Amino acid sequence: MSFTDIVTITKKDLLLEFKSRETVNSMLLFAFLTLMLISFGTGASELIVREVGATLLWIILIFVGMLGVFRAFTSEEERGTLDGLRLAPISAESILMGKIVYNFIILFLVEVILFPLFIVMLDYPLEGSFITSFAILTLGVAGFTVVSTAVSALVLSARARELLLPVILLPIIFPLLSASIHALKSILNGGVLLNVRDDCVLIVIYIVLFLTVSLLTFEYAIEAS
Amino acid sequence: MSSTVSIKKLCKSFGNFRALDTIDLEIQKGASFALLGPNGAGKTTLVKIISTIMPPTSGEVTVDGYEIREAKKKVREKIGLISHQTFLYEDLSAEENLIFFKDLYHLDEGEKRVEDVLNVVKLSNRRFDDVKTFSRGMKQRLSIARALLHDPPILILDEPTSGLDIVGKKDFYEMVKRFKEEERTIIITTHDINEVELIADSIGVIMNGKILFSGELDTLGYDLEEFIIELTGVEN
Repeated sequence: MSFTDIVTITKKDLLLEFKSRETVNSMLLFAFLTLMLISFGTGASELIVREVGATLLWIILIFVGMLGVFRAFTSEEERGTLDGLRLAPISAESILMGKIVYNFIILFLVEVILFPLFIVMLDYPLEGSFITSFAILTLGVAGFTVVSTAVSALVLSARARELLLPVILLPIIFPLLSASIHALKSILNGGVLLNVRDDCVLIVIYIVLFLTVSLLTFEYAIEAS
Repeated sequence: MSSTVSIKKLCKSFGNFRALDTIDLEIQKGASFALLGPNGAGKTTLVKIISTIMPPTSGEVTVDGYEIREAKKKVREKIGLISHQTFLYEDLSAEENLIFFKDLYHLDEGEKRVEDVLNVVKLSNRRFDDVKTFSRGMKQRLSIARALLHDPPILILDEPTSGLDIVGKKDFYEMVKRFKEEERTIIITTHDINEVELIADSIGVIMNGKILFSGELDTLGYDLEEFIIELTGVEN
């Protein structure tokens, strides 16, 4: 695996996204509309917002994430460019890492816009640190990106892959999501980092574990069948 | 002459379907080898295996002395693949596409190489234009530039003229003529007998995943089209 190759893949995907804007625009529009619906739904109830706010934010991120993450590999296949990547003298791991980094940047961009909007539009009675909440959310987003990118590569050659992705992804990612939601809820409602240490450790273990497994198996997943 | 591509007892199965069945084939260094066969004969599968895109089920394939499963990167450095699929990103410009592939091949003096290959395929004046604005022929020329970037000694052309008009084909044949003069090994899969006669000096005929014939074109002794029909029972 080479750092230069990872940067090359990420740079190319960002340039493509910058020129076409087909993924980020859809993700942001979907996120904004869903947030508006939730904002109307929860009304001004402080109690509801405190109790389910973090979960609702994560539900938006999951769907927005799946919308974007899945494109990273399917768009290569639809364009017929996946074989071009397979032909290059680079490791399969570099391709996967390039896609993970790209997906993380895109999702982080959505998070940067979505999180302040979430606080404002839901009129969240924020008691904890905004920065710490954001950092905890970012850690969860990193975990989500690693797992979902790896799973999206695995289902690439499957029929009805758009349906298969959530069916496979959600059970796998459940422990990571529950830890992320718990940690975010705790910090938003006045908790400190020490209270969510176990959740953070679980998320980091999940990232390391999935990164290792997907790096070891990705070469077989990306081979033409 | 020594073999640059050597295939021994190669098999490829998709479930119960055997796409390639115990293929033995030697392609000489500097040769222009045409692989002929009807649709579904196994031509593209064979090309994909040689170029390391697809793993074989069993057998051994070496390219320039490197075994395709053990030395994938080395094999990929030796091969340039030009297919009816261009592997190009339509939303990027010609130059952006080539810079991306130049980076993937870790080329020294890559910028100059990009300029050189754009000149070879006569697309220097369109280098900043997005590929989506190109005609089919121009895209294929840019695809050739992409395949030539790392100066590979072996060029694999998988039905390269499919979808090209007469002018596009003429341009393409001129470039292939140049590749032959540069003594690159050329492997072409095609349905077009005229193309074979124009490009190839040796042929292989494949049907139902088996090589029915391989040898020099000028030793056939009679019309190639008749020979193919007699061998396969179908018009190519």
